[in-house]
Amino acid sequence: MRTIVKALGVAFLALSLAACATLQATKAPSADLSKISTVYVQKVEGDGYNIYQVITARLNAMGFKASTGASADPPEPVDAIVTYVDRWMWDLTMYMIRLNIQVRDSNTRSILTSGESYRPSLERRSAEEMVAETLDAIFKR
Amino acid sequence: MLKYWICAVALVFMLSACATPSQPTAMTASGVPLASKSSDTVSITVTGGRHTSSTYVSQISDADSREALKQSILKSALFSQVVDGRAGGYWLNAYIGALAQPLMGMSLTVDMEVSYTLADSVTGKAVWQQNIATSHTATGSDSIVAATRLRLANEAAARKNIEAAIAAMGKLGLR
Repeated sequence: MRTIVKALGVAFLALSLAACATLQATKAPSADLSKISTVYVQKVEGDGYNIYQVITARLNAMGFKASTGASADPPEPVDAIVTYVDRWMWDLTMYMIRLNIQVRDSNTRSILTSGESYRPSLERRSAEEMVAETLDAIFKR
Repeated sequence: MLKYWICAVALVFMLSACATPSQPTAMTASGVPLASKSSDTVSITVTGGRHTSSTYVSQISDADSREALKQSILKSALFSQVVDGRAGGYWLNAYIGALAQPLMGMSLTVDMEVSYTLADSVTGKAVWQQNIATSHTATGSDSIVAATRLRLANEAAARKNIEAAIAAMGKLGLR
């Protein structure tokens, strides 16, 4: 019995490790990202890892004028609103396993473009690196 | 001894549950009430979808989403016909901007957002644009297998989204 349990455990571990990291971004056909210069990052309620600050810092480093806040409406007019969903897992330490970022039209809230970074435990990276690679994929930097 | 059996059964269950793609038939909406219908044709394009990988989780592909949208439009008779390419009197584009899925849990909620644009092929201008957000929660009573629960939640969220889109287009008074 122990042999069977061990064998199944090893098989399960192998299956877990087999999952590869993925990075992808898509864009609405009519979206023109070149017109975006000012963005507002909407903080997700309960963001315990301050991802909104990481995204804002990265967007500023990329040359955008980025601001952030908890309100759904930006305090001043902007070209686009950025929303995100971060998923975390525990494997010896907490790590971000999946990050989705959406860039929305500031008037209609329609999603113009979105990106996702998925990194299982063995391919984990810091939140800063996952934010950077996702935004780079979205804006093709 | 009992706990080993439970572990073994649980592991076999987990290993045997590969992710399967969301099915067009399960995403097809029917019986959508319409205020008006169009006698013209429509061409459909869907972007932003993803293929399902056996080591990842159930997704919704562009082709499957387009097929569900096509069958839903035909069932509702919103347009007279769905044609390939850009030959339709109207062009409908659906961009799947978000498909937020949980990693685990007994109740799995999927949140979906699709940006729709309907353009008149004569003028080339958009006659309707709307971002539609829907969600659905699949519970343990739907399926004991997590991969199946997630697929069911995907399909129901997509079906609700298509229903809302068709109902909205039915209010436009299209030619």
